[in-house]
Amino acid sequence: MPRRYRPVVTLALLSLLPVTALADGGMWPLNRLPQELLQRRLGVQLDEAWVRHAQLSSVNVGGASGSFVSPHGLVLTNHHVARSCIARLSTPQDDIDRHGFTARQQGDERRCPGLSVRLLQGIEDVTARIPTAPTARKAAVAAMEASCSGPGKRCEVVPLYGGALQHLYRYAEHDDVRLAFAPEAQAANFGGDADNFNYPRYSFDLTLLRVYGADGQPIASPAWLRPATQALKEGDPVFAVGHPGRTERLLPMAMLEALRDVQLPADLAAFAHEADALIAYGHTSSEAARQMDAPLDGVQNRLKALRGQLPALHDAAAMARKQDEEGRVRAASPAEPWLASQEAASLLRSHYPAWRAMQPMRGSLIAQALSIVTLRDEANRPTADRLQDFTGGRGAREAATVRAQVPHPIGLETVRLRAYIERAQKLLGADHAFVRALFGGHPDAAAAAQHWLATTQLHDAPTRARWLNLDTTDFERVADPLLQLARQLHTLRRPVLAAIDAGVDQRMRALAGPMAQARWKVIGDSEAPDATGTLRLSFGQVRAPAPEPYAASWKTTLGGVYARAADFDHQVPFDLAPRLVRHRERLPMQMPLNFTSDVDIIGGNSGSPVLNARGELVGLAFDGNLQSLPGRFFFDGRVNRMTSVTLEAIFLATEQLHPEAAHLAREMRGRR
Amino acid sequence: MRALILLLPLALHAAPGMWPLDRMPTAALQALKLQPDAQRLMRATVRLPNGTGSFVSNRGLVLTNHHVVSDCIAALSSAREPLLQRGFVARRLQDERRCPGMEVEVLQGIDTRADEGPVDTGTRQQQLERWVGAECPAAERCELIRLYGGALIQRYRYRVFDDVRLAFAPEAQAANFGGDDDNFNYPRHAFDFALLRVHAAGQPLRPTQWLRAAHTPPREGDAVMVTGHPYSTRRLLTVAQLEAERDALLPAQLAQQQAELDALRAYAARSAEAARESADAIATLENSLKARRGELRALRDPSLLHAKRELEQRVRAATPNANPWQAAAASAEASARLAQQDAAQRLPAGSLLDQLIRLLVQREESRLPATERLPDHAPEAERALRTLAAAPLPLHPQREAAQLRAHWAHAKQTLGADSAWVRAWEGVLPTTPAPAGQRDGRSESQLEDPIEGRLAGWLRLTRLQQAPERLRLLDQPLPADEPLLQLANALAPLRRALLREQEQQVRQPLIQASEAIARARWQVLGPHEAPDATFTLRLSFGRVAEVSAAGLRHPWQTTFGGLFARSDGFDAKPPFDLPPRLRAARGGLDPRAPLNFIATADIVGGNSGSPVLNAAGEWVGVAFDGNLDSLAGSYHFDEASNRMIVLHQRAMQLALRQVYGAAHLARELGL
Repeated sequence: MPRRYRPVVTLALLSLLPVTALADGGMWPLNRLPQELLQRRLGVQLDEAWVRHAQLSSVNVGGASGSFVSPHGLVLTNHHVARSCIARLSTPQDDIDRHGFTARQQGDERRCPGLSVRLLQGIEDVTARIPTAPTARKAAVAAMEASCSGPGKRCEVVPLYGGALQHLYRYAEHDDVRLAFAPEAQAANFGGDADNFNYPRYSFDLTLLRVYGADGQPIASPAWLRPATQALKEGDPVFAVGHPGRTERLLPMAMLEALRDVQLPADLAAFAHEADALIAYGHTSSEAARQMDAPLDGVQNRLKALRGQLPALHDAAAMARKQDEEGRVRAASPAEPWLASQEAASLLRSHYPAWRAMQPMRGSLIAQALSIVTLRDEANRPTADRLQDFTGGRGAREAATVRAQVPHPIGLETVRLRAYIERAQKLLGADHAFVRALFGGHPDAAAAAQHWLATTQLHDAPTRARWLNLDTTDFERVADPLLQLARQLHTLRRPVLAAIDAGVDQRMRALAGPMAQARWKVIGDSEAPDATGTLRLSFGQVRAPAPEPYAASWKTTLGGVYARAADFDHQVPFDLAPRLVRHRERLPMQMPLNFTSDVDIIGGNSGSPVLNARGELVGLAFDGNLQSLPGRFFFDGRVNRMTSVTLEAIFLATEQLHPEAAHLAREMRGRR
Repeated sequence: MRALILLLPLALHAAPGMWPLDRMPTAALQALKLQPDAQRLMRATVRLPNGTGSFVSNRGLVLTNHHVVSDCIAALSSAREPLLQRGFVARRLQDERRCPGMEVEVLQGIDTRADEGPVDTGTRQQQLERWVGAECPAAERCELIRLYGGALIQRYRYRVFDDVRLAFAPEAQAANFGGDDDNFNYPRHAFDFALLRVHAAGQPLRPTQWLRAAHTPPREGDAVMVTGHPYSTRRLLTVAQLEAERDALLPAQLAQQQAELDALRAYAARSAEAARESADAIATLENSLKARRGELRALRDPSLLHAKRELEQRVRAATPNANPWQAAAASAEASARLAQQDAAQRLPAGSLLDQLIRLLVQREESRLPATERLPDHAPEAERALRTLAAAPLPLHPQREAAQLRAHWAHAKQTLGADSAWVRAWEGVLPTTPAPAGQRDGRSESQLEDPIEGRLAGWLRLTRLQQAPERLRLLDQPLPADEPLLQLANALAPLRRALLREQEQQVRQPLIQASEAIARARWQVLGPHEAPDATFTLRLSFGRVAEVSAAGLRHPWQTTFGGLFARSDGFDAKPPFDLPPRLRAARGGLDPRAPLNFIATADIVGGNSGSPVLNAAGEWVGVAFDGNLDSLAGSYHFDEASNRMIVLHQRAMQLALRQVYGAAHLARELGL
């Protein structure tokens, strides 16, 4: 689940409105914690030291979450958060994805290509310093972010409540992150797509990374989490600290309806198509299956999330609540912002299908080519004219992806490009200029894909990095066929990106202030802002899932993984990882393996440490149940559950399943 | 891909179905390479009062579910010897204990009546009565069966055995692990089986046919067949009738049963003994409520009614006469109108007052010529009622008083204080405390509720606890000299009036209509549709196959390891505690051993205890439940989601040999 948040869709919306029964949920910025609610719901107060310690122990791992678990830069996160690193470090000869990986000493730790971590240093309210007019705001934000960014430092202006509040987040950034430990992928991902977003769950979804400084030595952790000394039990208050990517709980109805009718169905169709293409490719050979496994994982995850989210927007009761709330707010406020949001929604409706058709799948080579062309184009424009997704912090992350040393096997890329061409043809029609460009005169999508990829140099990371930084005249001379194609596509795509950027994203951001003021006047200002990919604290209790239709306990046990495997005759994806088979007789079957709580999290929270009221580590969040997926639009504490790996399982993996990693367990226990 | 399957329209008429053994769908069976031997299955499968069983040894041993015979086990239980809680193993033949009042029926033949052409309804009715009455072969019991809404009328002939003894039962907690939470659910981990022995002439019966245990375990994808006695399905109902069920009948039943359950639970919470004496009744009610809820959920799924409507339109489009559907709609409307009254009048099942009212209604009906009686009070029914009244009735005065108190309150709430039913109650039951002399020696303070206290007093003192006194009620009015009888006398005419109204407005208009509708369906859809279930022997079939529910893949089988893991996950808290003998045996049991499995065979309530057979006709398990989605099976069968849940043969073997020390029975079963 909360598979890594991927900032794919441009609509980083921002706005406000009708929330619902989220009274008890919320992902709270660490400088705006709802102490009263915490006291009322959990009987807990978090003092400044607790919060400070949680903040300094938290790590943003490539957009998802993690935490320091030793004084020496050791970071605990999910296997699926680090999966792309693990997959990149795997080869057919040394398949660490499959067999797991343990660095027996620090020198053996392997650097993750393209992966960087950010540590939050501080938050400052800069609302008063940001103008509201879109053009002026863009310039002001760019200037503010540039002023405190540099080597190892990064700043981002974070719009809360859709932009009604603007906070400046300061980060230290480290781009030398190394893999220290990973269990076997089958132990981390037992049950595969079938069990993803589901519960009961039996997963060792954990990995250990280590952050290195510019001096090539492990950094000293600014703070680190100690393992809890008392066993967790049902009803215990628990806290997740992490980076929820995006929620849209405060969107106005008009936008929600556009999401329901246009955006989500279009996304669903596209990801379903991509998944089918990858699966078909996987059937061609075992090497093809290996190549497509990690990308498919991401696509299927996204697909399953969408399948869970879309019904939420068709939930008549939930939508009626939102409608009712919006009605009350609108009745007490000027009509103008609401009318403007309706215009934004109708613009989204008309442009989104084309946007979706032109959007390449993340991680594909055509995506890399388009990124290079777009990043260069935006950099050459005046600040106010730039697309938000390709400037500032986001632009920098996009550029890091382009430069990352990632394998792009030709077979896999051919399949992905072909699927991209097919989708564009289906959605835009064969006569559309964009589709004609993609076909390039070839009779079918397969032939066209082969042509564009036959002689391209884009699979070579240093080449990509060089092209990104060439001066304009030199860049124009590069005659790579795939890059040529990307240039043509970009010319046709940019107007669509710009229309949504200006007509939807920027417009909604400009409406955020008045809408939030109206909402606060009617509803009060005690709601959490929507998630923005920045550090948040969520809280709740260890709690079993809703008993209907099938009662499940708050915890699963190690014996459960063996039972589920046996129940399925050990067929994929319910086969046991070899280590689980080898050590079976000596393992404690009653040990808790995963557990649920009613903590409000969403994609991006993957890898969040789960803390008890004393601030000690009790688990590692890695997923939510199916009923957590509507959390994108509203939180329903009766059914929404976070799923976590227990502390016991973290130590079982590092001490008993992989005894060679015992030194890392000792390090986490503070006994190095 | 799974999602796409769900988008396809429901193919309602292509459903597998529960087939009478004289009308088996040859092609569908051949497709699965199944060749059932109808004669053999008829004689090896037995009908029990609450479901199904099968002969599994040449000495009359019958395999069935624990929950099918739990009322027998409860009746044999006492505070000193709690067989339900502790289980029961008869070490020797003579240790087996007779189940009070239990009969086993074995089907001997199915007769179809030659059509003698048009005769008037009354004469035809008399002919049919004679066919199953005077013309029924000696030593057999005959039953008139109407299939396809009466388009096909048949006679089922049975041999009946009334000496049925309990040979083995596991602890109720093993049979019912997970309790109401896991009931109708899957993955499942239940040892829901029991063994009976049929005796004839004081000796173990040598059945003419019995089933052999399979030597190879079932695997995923295997074809299986199931014989049993599904109670009833309503798959051939018209849309109007389904809507009446959805909007009136089921909601009213749910409200009434929920009130009854709440009262029982509150009573059970009073003491350990109260809990013990209510356990079986509570489980029965929970089961029923869950089933009704599942049915209601199915009917509220718009895709189901949409598909039903389309099918009905096809049939109607090909039928010139719209009258039958209009008549069915009028009947449905009447049933909806009477639904709440009907449900609110329901007295607690098995209570003395319930039996008294039945007897009084029967007495009035018996005064009418046979053809004018309510069908449920025909001579045949009168005989059954006489048998029931003659059996000793275990009376729990305090429990029944609490239940009746709740019944009265529920009736008052749903029917109103001015309704005839409530006025009848309050005419006999003054809502003031009983005078001191009638308190059965108890002080007022011992009884929380004065009305309950008064009812309990009546129940303790009534002479109608005696079977002969009750039987006399059937033949003559007794002097109404005790308040319980006064109450029954006041309520019975109201009950009878409602039954008569239902007969006239709901059932009578439907007789001709449903026959016409069934014929029209037959014309359009062909004879490829199984008749609705009638608690008669049927064959179902399908494959062993996993299932997805609520987005989660569920395996085709569960294992002992899964049972232990589920119990551990809940820290062994009820209803997920392991019973003592299972806990003791845990270390020696292979966690990989199969426990339950699922298959796509189409079954419903009444199939409980059905033998599950492989293609060779050997038994591989005993069916005991369906998953939540199978509850929609009352209205349609959906192979994608509907699953029968089966106790695996291997689990019985391990239970008998390693948990309960009953190796002698395992040997007799060939396990």
